[in-house]
Amino acid sequence: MARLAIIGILAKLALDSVSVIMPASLEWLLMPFIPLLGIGSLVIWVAAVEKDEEKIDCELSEKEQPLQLSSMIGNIAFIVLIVLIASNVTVSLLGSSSMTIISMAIFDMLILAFIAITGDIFRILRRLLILRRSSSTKLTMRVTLLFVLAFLFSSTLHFVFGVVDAMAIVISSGGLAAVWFFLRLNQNDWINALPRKDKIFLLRRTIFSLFTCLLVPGLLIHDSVDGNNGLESAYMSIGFCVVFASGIYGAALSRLFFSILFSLPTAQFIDRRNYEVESLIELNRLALSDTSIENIVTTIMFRAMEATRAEGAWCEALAPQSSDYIVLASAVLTDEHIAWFHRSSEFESKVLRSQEQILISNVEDDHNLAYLAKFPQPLARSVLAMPLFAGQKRVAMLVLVKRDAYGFQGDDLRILRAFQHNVKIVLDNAKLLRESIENERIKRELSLASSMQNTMLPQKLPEIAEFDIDIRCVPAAEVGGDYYDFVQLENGMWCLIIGDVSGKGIPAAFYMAHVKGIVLSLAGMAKSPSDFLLKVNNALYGNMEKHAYITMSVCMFDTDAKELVLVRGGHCPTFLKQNRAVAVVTPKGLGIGLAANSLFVPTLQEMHIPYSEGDIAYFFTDGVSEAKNTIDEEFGYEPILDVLRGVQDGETSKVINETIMHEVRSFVGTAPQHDDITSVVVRCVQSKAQNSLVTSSSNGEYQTVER
Amino acid sequence: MSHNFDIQSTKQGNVQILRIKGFLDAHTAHLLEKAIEDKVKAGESFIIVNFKDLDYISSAGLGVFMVFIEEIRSNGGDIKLVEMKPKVFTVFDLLGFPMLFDILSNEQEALSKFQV
Repeated sequence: MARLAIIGILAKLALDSVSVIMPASLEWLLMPFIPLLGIGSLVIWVAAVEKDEEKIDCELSEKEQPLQLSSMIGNIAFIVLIVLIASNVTVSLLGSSSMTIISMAIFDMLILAFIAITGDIFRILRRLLILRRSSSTKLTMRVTLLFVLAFLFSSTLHFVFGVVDAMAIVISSGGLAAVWFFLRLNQNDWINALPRKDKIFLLRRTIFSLFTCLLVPGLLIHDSVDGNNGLESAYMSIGFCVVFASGIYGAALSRLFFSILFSLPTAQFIDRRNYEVESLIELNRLALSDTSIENIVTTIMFRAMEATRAEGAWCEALAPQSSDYIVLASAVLTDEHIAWFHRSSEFESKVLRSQEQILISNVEDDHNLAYLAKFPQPLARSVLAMPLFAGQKRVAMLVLVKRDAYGFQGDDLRILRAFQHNVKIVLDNAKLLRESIENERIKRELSLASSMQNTMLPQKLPEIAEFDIDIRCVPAAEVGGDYYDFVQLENGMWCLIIGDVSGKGIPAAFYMAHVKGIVLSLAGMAKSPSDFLLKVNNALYGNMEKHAYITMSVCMFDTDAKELVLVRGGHCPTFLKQNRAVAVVTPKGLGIGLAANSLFVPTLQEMHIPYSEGDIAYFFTDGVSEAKNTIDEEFGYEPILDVLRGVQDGETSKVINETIMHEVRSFVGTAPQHDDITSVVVRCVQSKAQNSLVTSSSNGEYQTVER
Repeated sequence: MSHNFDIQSTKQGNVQILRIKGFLDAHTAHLLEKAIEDKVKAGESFIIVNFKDLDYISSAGLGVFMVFIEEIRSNGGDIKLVEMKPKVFTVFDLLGFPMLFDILSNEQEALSKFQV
């Protein structure tokens, strides 16, 4: 759209010139179009510029970069020059008087070329202006347009209608536009960010463009001095348009020229800053995509070499558990070279094991290090060493070398120091990333183990005549060591098994699975609870780590003899409530896996406890009695015994267990749960009981599985 | 849990006395295990563990004593446990440790048993 407007403006200028050379009788045909075309085009242009301004964003395409735009002006100005020279030659060859068809055709082509070229330059300037727009950009644009408008009309007046006085307005409006543009085009800060070599390139282009822009109007003014016929006059109209345009370009270009000139001395610092930003971006990208220290270190090494223009480099880490070193990455230097550096223990301890940056400007200054320069070919007269840290840990040593003494400057040290900070962040990131991946993996495995372990506990309680049983299990961490089960012995009697594996976490869970297997395979062969326990001890003793053991209570529901048969292998006591009296029952017995059967069997006591309706037996693991509150006090036995004492006739196991668990929860409060909790209430009922099993997750939400 | 656990070791004749203090649980058990292991490796066979300042013991803590007892006894030595607080003793008692270990009231008693 903007281009359309510019073509419109230039077409108006073209019509101006055509009207001059046309026969006077036809002039009236064009007259109404000329001012309309001019005004219309300007309106379209203003609209286009403002629309364009809204649209433009930060990310510029390659072609839209200011550097490209600026250098394009130079190219186009050069084409203008060529076209002008060509037109000059054409005009002088054809002669001013011979108005042949051919000369008219060539002339038309020239006009079209001017239109296209000038339009393009205008577009570029507009682009440059909008690129670094400020709040006054619109004003600048409009004022410039005002000058253009004044220029167009005055030129029409002068050339088409022959008003001589209008010439003054033509020149002054053109000049004012140029000066205005020069003053307003101050948004040249993009030049500062250019690398030095781009600046020099741009400077050359600007000088060339400026020269061309000045040459074009000069050439035209020179031409316009001779001749005064129709063609020359038309040529003048175009010519003035070019002079005007050149003035504006000249203004823009000279502004550009000075900006570049002034920013050249600081170019080196800008380059360095650019390099740092680039390094940081690259290192950050690396930190996100790569977690291997080797890859990161290799990139760092090459970056550091570039920054200091080092001739060789390597990066080494200390081998674990020895004073040896491992080369992580090297450039130019071979393993043989690196070994040569390690020949001196002094160099090794002073430089290669240093915790700080070290610069050796000339190895020959120190007779201990002079050997470094004496490798078959001179290897390193100056050495710069920089340790790389991840967290507090020194992970590697980066060594940069140059063949010449005093090769590294203080500046190199400074840039490396800034660099080292970035490197530390990258290495830290990589380390954290690796750790979090590992943590995530362990978490996943633990939760898998936990769900597997849950399937090892009975999903359904068996129907045991005359008993109402309620079990609650609240695991502490992801996996724990509590175990309970119901098995039938050889005689077909049901047994409750409750156990706890010493220790916590994965090892405890592993043993628990082990115990479950042993329990299931041995139960059917056991004649009595004590026989069962000694079989289990026999299977486990000597097959576990020495410090591991299992405590286990087994209670057989002997519905024939109407008694509970109780054995205890080191487990917590059982609480019994009979005839309103509550007792702590602790049959003798060693923990499972602590001693061979030769000692285990003689010390195992089997208790036979006759039961009657309303009797209650309570089994638990130490997670209940050793539950701790926020001030580290233990729950103990008493609160449980109190609950049992207070049990009313007819209260179901479920209600009793809920009361006990409620006591535990309110005692513990907000303190973390350290151990698995398993709580079992067995109540003797005459009628068939409603047994229920409650399992829960550690968040304390219970699910009841009714049978 | 960041409870402290500390071991002080002294030697009386050919008897090694370890005085343990604080909390002996899954987090600190390895410290005691290391201490006893060092003594056993150094050829010590007569060991007294004094529980006077031990406030708490967990199942993992109990396991430690099982690790070396066999080896020590096969060398003709023993581990004797003395001066347990009642609460600590209950834990040992539940597990049946009194049937496996000599649990005595003081160091002197243990020393005289070793002399015999």
